[in-house]
Amino acid sequence: MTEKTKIIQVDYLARVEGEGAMYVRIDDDKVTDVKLKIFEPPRFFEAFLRGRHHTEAPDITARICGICPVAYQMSAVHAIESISGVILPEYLRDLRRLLYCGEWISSHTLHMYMLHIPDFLGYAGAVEMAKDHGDIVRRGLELKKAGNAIMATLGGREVHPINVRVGGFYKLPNRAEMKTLGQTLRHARDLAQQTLDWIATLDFPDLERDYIFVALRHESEYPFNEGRVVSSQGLDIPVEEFPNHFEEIHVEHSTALQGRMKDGNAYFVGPMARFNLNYDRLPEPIQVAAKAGGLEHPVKNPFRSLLVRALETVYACDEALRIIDAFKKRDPFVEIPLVAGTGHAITEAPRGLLYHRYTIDDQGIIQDAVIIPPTSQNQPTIEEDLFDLVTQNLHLPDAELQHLCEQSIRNYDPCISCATHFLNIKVERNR
Amino acid sequence: MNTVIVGIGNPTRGDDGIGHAVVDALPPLPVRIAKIHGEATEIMDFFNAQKVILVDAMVGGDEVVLIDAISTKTPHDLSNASTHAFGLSQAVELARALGDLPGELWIIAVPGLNFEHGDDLSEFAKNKIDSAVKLTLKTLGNFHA
Repeated sequence: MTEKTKIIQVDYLARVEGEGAMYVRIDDDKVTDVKLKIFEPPRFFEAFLRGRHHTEAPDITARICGICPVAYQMSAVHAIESISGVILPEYLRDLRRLLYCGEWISSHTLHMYMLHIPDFLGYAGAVEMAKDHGDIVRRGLELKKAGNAIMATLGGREVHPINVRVGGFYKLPNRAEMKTLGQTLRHARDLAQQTLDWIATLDFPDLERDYIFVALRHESEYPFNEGRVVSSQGLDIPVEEFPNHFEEIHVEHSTALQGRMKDGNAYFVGPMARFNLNYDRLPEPIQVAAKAGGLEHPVKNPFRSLLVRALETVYACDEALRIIDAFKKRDPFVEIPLVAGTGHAITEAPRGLLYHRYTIDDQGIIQDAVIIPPTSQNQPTIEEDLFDLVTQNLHLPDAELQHLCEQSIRNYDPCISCATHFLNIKVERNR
Repeated sequence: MNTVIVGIGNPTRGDDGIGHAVVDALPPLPVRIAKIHGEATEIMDFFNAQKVILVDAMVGGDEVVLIDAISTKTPHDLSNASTHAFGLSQAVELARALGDLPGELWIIAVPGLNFEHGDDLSEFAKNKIDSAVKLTLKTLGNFHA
């Protein structure tokens, strides 16, 4: 650092689900270093799972994050069920999709309205935005409640659902409960469309990069729980081959692991990756809504991920209604025989791929567990975005540059709490 | 009776589970009792009650504190581990901005020491449970006075 070095530091990055640190160094008007520092506690849950009965995994992993418990449950049950090879009947896999719709609606809406939209309107946060745009904030709260209603009806409660088990559910709601839920979702669909229409009118900062997008791809559906792992560079592998192509790496500046492809490339998971790799799996009305909302395909500007989240929320409402309308009460689960072995699963958490792997013995005890959350996978891409963003915006005053960096990090809705703690931002500018 | 007592926190984040532990230690009461993680909109769902008592962990401090959230801006150092960046204080202030605060809103802030992953409360936090329970009951009593 020279005497000309300037330091911009933010001790707390608001509106990120968790906390960490960001360091940017600028020498002679060139960005020379960007580090996303995540201070990850020991992988408590992976260790905690070892020695526990495999049937406990859905409830234990649901506690990793209060924002995406369904994702953890879904990856857990699918990984464990894959060991036995049992395929659940169509109505149960549909109900799992319904539960996931609830989480997408709730999580996406929380992110859009409470965490990210304030950036686009120039507010410090949702509280400040609410003073001027109370009706908009109320719409967000109401939409989020619809997602919560799905999780309460099918998951047993809104946060940390308790009704998911290996083989299905402990119990299913009755038809009257599902009818009520359907009424809620029909109204939510309108709110979601209004949200998409409104977000389409916002201004999005410029940034386009040639990302490697990675997502699940199902043979006929927009993906939640099943599919092959595909990339925008032609990768197309079954889930169990994920560890052969992707790895988690320790980096010196972070105690969290960072996900990279084995060739060293960063990759991008989440709504934009899903949309870009599964556009043709969206129902036609959703494709029409995307075009009407000005959402090009493929999307390469990460700031427009806000628009993709809005679109996915509309889709999740439609998909939920499809499943609710077809609901008939049947057996809540199928028996899954105990088979020793190793099982893998990837599901699409709101923030992207969530990989689980379990090895269980012939008593059903978990011998090993590996969990790779989406935010870990996106960390290197977030760093690369910041590198380009700062390079392109060196002319901005430090406060504006800092705000842009924060907004850019929030493009990924990083759920750092799945893996970590504090987030600070520090920019060193030597000019 | 339109009163609710809500324990807030994540029991897998050490002393962040103190809110749940306090609620668990309450004697049977003729009011609604809930335990939640602490995301802001989740908290706001309880604000349709007339009287709300929130029990949450606090980073720092030595004693259990009672906060009248109707008349006091909510401090940011409550349940740091589990509320992410959008938790209790944002819930209260967002509701205040929208005019959606309940008639009475009390926060029982219980100090904790360790907020790392782990499902055990520290001895320090465990020793605060009794006083937090007493303060909760006293606050509840005030509601009925």
